[in-house]
Amino acid sequence: MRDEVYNKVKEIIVEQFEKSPDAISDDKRLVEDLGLDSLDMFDLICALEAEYDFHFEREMGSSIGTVGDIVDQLVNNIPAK
Amino acid sequence: MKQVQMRRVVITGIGFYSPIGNSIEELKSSFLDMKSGIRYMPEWEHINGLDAKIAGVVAVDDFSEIPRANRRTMDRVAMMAALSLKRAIVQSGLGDEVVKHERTGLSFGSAMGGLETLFDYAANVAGNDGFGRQNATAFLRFMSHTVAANLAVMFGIIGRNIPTSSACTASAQAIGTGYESIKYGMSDVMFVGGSEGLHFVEAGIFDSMGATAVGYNDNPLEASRPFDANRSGLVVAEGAGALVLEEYEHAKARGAIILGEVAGYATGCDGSHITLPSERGMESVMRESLKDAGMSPDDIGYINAHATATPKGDIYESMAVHKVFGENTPISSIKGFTGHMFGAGGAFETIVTLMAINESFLPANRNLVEMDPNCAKLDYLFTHREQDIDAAMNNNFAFGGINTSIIIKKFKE
Repeated sequence: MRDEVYNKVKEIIVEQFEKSPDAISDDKRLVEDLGLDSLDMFDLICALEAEYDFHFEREMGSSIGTVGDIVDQLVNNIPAK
Repeated sequence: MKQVQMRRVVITGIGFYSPIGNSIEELKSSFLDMKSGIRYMPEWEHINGLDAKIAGVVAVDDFSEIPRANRRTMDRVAMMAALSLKRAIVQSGLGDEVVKHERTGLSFGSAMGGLETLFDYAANVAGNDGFGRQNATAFLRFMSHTVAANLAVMFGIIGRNIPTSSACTASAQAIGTGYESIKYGMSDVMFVGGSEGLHFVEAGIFDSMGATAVGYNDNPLEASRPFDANRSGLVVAEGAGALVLEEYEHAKARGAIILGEVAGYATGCDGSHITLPSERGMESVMRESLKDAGMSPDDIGYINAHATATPKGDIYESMAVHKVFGENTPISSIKGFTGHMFGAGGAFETIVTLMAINESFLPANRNLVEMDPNCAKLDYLFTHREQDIDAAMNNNFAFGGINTSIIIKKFKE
């Protein structure tokens, strides 16, 4: 399941923020490495909420630093399909 | 008493998108061939209660040259403005050291902000019973000053930024604001203009007021008929226009190519009816802009009229023009070609006015076949005219009784 979520997160980041697929990996930091800012972070969460029918609580956002963090948050919180 | 600075203001760059072309060459060709930019809108077929399903549409959909970080907060209205301004700055030859300088400012407007985004946002809120999953950038794309705010970020403007949002005079007031900022010494360079994105809501708004051209869905090319006896209203349109205004000595010192001079400007208000135009208000603003330019009516060789083809507006405007100019000054409204570009109209029509001077080419009133006998007797251009002129006036009038008049003249040392 984690691989599936990772691939979807990667796909959204590539499409929405026009990043190269090669630039995305688990350990990449969203702000420092991928250049996302606070507006991008909100839009990323918005897109993921729509994809997984899931609501990120605001405090969950503060623990997201890397691509892997997002994937883990989703894997730990979304109901299995 | 402190001496007020009075400096000359010249134009050193232009850029625009319009339903009849995106360059001066394309514009002139459209005017020569009497080519209309108005078409039937099959996209609007499903909209109930919309009578006028026609519009002036700009042929551009690729905005990928705008960096993503800027594009994410832009609706079509800001993207067309951004690319127009980019072209204008390139033409002006100004480098980053001037663009990103405290003495360089910006004034841009639109009538509606990002209407497409606003519509989608409101529909999402209503559909989801709230704000869950609303995009964080939506407001930045639809807010009333979205054009000015986004352009300032994209181009790194650190001088004054004055958004104008007065509907049909938005970009004319932006030009006026830029002109006054330079003339009175607050700025050396001003990027000015306006933009409007097309949306069926805009058509519906004017439909509801009985102000759109109805009965032309099968014949859109003949729908917009300023001053014609058989006109029935305006046609909504989109577009953008940008100008680089520069203090004359500043432009001269860097060897810039000067396209023309903003010689005069005035804005005033009727202070009476919210939609009905006032002949007195229109007359007043024309006289004030002449006074500002130090010119007499005889100095004006062409008038670019606001004339949107509404039954009353054209009559009042013609009478006001007659009072100021008499009947011998050539006049045309180009809205017969483009439709009404609202927030972009003032800037685009000022660019057309500049073209008229530089190309010695006065565009015709498209679809003016039979003069409305209720309009004052004027020198209406039934066909284009090749004529040398030194100066011309562009007028715009908006709901709320807001009036503007801009005088452009041929540049001379």
